[in-house]
Amino acid sequence: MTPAEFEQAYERLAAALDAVGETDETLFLTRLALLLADACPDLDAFAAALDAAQAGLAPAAGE
Amino acid sequence: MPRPRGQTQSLYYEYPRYVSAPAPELGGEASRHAVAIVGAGPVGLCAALTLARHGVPSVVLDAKTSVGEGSRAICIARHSVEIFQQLGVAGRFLGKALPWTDGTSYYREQPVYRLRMPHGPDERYYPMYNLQQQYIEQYLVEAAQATGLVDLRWGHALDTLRLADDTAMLEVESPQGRYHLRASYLVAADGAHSRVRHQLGLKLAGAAYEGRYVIVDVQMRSSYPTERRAFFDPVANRGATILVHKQPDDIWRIDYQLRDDEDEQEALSEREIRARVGAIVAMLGERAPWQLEWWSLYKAYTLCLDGYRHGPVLFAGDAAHLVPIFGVRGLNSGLADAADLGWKLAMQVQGRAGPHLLDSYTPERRGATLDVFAQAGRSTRFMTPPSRGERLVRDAALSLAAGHDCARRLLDPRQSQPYSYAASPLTTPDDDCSLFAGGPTPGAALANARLDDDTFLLDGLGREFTLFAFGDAAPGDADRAALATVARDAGVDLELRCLAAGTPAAARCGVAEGGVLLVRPDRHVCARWRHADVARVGAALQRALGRSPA
Ligand SMILES: Cc1cc2nc3c(=O)[nH]c(=O)nc-3n(C[C@H](O)[C@H](O)[C@H](O)COP(=O)(O)OP(=O)(O)OC[C@H]3O[C@@H](n4cnc5c(N)ncnc54)[C@H](O)[C@@H]3O)c2cc1C
Repeated sequence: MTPAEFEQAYERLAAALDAVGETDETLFLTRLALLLADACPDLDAFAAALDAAQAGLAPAAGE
Repeated sequence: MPRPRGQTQSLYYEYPRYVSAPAPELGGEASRHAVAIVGAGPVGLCAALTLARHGVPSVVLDAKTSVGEGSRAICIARHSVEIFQQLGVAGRFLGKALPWTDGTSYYREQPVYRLRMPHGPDERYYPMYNLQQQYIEQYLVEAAQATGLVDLRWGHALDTLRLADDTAMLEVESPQGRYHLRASYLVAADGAHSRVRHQLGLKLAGAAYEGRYVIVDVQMRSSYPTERRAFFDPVANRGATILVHKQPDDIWRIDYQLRDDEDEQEALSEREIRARVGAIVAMLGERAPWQLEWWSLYKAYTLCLDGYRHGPVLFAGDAAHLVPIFGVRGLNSGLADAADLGWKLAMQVQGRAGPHLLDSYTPERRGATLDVFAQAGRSTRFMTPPSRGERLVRDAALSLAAGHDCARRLLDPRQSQPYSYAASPLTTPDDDCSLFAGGPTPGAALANARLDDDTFLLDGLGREFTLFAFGDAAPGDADRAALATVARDAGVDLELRCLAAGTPAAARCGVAEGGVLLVRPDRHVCARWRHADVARVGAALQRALGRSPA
């Protein structure tokens, strides 16, 4: 994806989040992640993205 | 608006007092002027100076008797300095302004993006300079006075305006009384609340953004270099943003965003501003004492007129458009309006313009405004996300920026760039762009590239049109004579500059071995060829003067 396309992806994601609304936000984002997992060339690519997305976030309590 | 001291009292700047003189029209006939300009802000002054450069006198009215109050626009882009060079004020500007190239964006406490604006040894000017707007206005005023062609009328305010038979009929209020003035052309450079716009019943259209900023200048000694600092979600303004810029005279510009729940009145109280600025100064790690100089509230708009020409009236600067400060385009785009309008209006007044020249002002400059809206609109949404979705994606990008290029690139503040008049009716498109290795495509501004130790391409820009011929494309004696003839037929001066090929300047122009660029008075390329064919140069000149329909 070119930087210009990535920027459009950013904007479309923002617009989709606004269209979906706050209630279904988490479900929407999780569905999106699953569909993108299917679009990944292999599991390693998806696992790397999962790790990167988690990095820097505080782990949930109880873990 | 409250001020730390009285109006136009400053810790570092002595506001000039301009004398308000009685108008010759007082009590007498409403004399007719070729050009009247309403507003001696930077844009009106730049228009007057450009007209004067082409030998056209103007009357400039301004309601106040000094330069504008407060530092307002502080970031001046390279392309504006190139305009100053043509107007003879670049020297003074450079003697005072602080040049810079870099910037840092922080997310919380971590630097996540490094801005590096393109710069190199073959550039004449830095990509950006910081200087308070009142200095810029003062330099422009003094240059305008020196021309002997600009009738500056301080304390004279436009009250009513009527258009009759393609003439602007002005009623002016001055300390010595009211008078009438007629002008064949009127430049409306009277700022955001343009009286001219109201008198003609015209409205700005577009969008307003939610984000509000308090803009504060403080005097403080600091050795921190001149660069742009942007803070997202910093400790001194959680949930919001801060921008910090250095100015001459130990003045620092601090813009901090108000959170949605903050009350404007309360936020603009001196006590509150002192508290907020104190926290920001501490966050910056500065220990020196600081003093408040000036402050103001700012909201981002992308608003403009549908057309910049209304019969004999031409709108420029804030009177024509309001743009967000992010990417520093407010003043910079107004100066480009004046540079574009100035030469066209001069040709028009002198009877040398084709029937379509003045009409090209709207597509060129409104086109530039819409481009600014697209660029600055994105920067504004990134700085102040207008919806929950935009905020979520923005915050996600910020939190990924430290480790991921894809997200980091989104932090580019997209600083002001000159707009290309590629789609203008004045521009002759390339016959064959494959003959050029990059360089300015027709419509783009000529780069001010190095020729030798101390000369640069724009030093050779003529007052009217210029033909830059590189390397083997330099015309022979017969062609030179023929070129002089086509220029005479077009009614303009055409300077010929023959330059060597194989130089950095030739490379920047995309003509490594040779080529020819025809350049307008405002340094925009209107046509280019591998070799100068005299008939084509003549046709392109006619077109650039508005003699062919759009
Ligand atoms: C508080 C504030 C902060 C700003 N900060 C920034 C910034 O950080 N960066 C940035 O790029 N831009 C900033 N701007 C915008 C920038 O200052 C403007 O883009 C720039 O001044 C536009 O120049 P101008 O000549 O078009 O208008 P102005 O500078 O507004 O000049 C208009 C002139 O017209 C005169 N006038 C008005 N009405 C009449 C009348 N009826 N008769 C006669 N004269 C009249 C006024 O006295 C004034 O001198 C800021 C503006 C404001 C107000």
